[in-house]
Amino acid sequence: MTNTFTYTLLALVRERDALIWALAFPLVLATLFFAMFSGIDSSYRLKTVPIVVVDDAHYRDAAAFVSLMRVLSEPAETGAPTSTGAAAHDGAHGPSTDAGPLLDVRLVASTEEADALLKSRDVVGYYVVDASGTPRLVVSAVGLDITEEVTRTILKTVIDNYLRSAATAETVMAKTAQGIGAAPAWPAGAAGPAGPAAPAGPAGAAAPAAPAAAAAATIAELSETLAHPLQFTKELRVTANDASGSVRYYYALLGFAALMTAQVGMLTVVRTQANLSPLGARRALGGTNRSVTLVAGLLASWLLSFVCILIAYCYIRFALGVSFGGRDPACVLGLAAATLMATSFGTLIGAIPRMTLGAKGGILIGITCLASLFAGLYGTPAQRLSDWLSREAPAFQQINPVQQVSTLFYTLYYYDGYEAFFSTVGALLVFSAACLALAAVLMGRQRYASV
Amino acid sequence: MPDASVVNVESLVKRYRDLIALDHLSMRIAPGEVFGLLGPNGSGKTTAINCILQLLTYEKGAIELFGEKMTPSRYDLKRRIGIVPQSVAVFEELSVRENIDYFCALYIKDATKRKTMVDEAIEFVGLGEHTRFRPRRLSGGLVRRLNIACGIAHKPELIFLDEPTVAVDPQSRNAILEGILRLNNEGTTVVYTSHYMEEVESICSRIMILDRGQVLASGSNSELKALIGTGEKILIETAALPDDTLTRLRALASVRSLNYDGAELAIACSGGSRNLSDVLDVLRAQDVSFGRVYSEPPTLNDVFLELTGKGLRD
Repeated sequence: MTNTFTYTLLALVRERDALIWALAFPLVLATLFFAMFSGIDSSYRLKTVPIVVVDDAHYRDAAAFVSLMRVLSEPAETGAPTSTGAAAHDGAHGPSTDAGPLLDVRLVASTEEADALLKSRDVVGYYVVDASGTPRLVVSAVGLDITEEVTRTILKTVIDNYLRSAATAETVMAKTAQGIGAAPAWPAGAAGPAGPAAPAGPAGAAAPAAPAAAAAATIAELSETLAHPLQFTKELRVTANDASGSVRYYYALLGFAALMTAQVGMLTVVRTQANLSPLGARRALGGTNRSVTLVAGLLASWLLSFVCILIAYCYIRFALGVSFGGRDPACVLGLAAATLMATSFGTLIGAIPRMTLGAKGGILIGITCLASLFAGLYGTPAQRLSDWLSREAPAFQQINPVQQVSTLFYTLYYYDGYEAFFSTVGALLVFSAACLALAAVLMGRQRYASV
Repeated sequence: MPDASVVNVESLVKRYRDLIALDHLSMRIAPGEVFGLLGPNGSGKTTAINCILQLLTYEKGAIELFGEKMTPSRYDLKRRIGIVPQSVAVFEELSVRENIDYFCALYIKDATKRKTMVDEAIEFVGLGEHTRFRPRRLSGGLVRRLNIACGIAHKPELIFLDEPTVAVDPQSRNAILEGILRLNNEGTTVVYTSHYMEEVESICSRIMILDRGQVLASGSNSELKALIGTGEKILIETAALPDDTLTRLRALASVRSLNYDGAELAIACSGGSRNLSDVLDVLRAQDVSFGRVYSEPPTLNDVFLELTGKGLRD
């Protein structure tokens, strides 16, 4: 058995066609994918927006707005740790959780200076606070490209939120003042969110001391709340890693690559069976039990397939930097299951009698390409089709080997636990067992009506 | 009482749907024989071998090898057999040595013993200078020799050679035939099929002629020639042969047929020891002058054509 295993492996390693399908093809496709999709994730990332603020007396009086500018100029709080306790980002391809500051604030002394920067298109807009303490966004009306449009929208959203919060604060303060029969008062030296500090008028002084103190405390709290809106917002991660637009392609590609290695198993079977090739006939007449020959051959096929896809995985993972959720050991286990499935499937196709080697190879390639389409390998429309099939015909996707391998890595990337992963591994093993059982029926005969 | 035959086939019937490939074929091959299976294309030679080796199913018949019933799982018997198939069946990706070692390992587990056997097989077929080459780098003759080496390396007691010299140059063919005789001299029983009559004639101790799955004749070379009653063929260069002389020649008891084209006289004789002198006596008596005279003894080819007919086959 050792001898048969060794020589079958050696013959397969030297079989150029098999290696092209099993190894070279996935590497080339992965490289093409990298060239095509490397910008996808970075395009999803929010970039720091440069903004100019006119640093005049009105601005300096609008303490809340100044505070807002300061907060938005600081690096954002990083995402919450995952439930696994591991850092979600493993330094690979995929969206980052380390967000930079939203705004890059540049203070200028006058409106004229800000206008000059706007005209020179160094910035897409600037903030200026008017005499009533209300900030405004000034933007250029012409010549905006799509990136500038997005930037302008961000800047507008910032100021809209601020003004909405200010209006809310004013309403709350007015009602609070009515409730305690005293005029609202901002803490000494502070400015209200809507503009300059409300004057601490005589009404406040006339109010009873205790209610006035309570009102001041409430207003101070409200002011603090509006200045730091994120303190009541907690970022919770529902998946183990951030959503990535590109990893799905690579996972489907690994499914495609795994199924491509079925060629190796198919070739091995054809060379073992007496009714499929002269070499198979000669081996069947040998003095070694044919089941031993077959098992040794299939083990050699599986090992070669596994090594091929492992190389493809390492290339995608380390050379191209695609994230697999930092679960490499599980990925390797998944690859072993995937190649076992592919070898079994190749064995089944190889065992079909009265069909040429070329026809069997063609069938395998056809099935692989079709299954890859349904697994979403060929772009956004294919991914939509894959999603639709997963919703409307889950049983079909369950028997789609490319989809299953793709799901395997998906579960590792997005799910916290391993239940879904092992469930998919189980599905692959069942698929493998079914293929081998069918192949055994086809190959069960020891004698043939004709060879 | 145990049968001394190495191969014993009784009334073997094999059908491919409506076609009867083997029609009650029976054969016994004794130890140490070189047994020739001769027949036109589709006569059933390869089918017979594949049935004997249990690769093919058959409708009826009994097959024993080495005195024991042969079944598909009799690996103990298979280990005593070598097969050189008609089609070259080797790994294109393995070298000469690796191929021979692989096939030898199907029979011999001991690596040390196998190494010696592989070396001997390489030397036997004269591939010593090509051990590292893969089959695609070998000529047709060398590939055929590799095919043979893969079948004989484990030193089988019984070897089936199915047309091993097809598409082989004369030098390689001679080397192969000499090798087969050497194997036989070392005690191997050989079953040999071929289209080439002179090969079978030169190496086989017993010959079976098959056609359409039926045994037409079986016996030694001389027994087969005697079977069809064909004697020598006489060729005489002579010009202007009178009709009277031709009539007298036809009247000779040993003359089966006669053909004269104005320059050469061809006479086919039946068996007999005085055919040539009888013909020459007639010519001399008629005072006919003649040039060169050729006399050819009957060949296996004559027997084959006599038995299977001269019509073209598929």
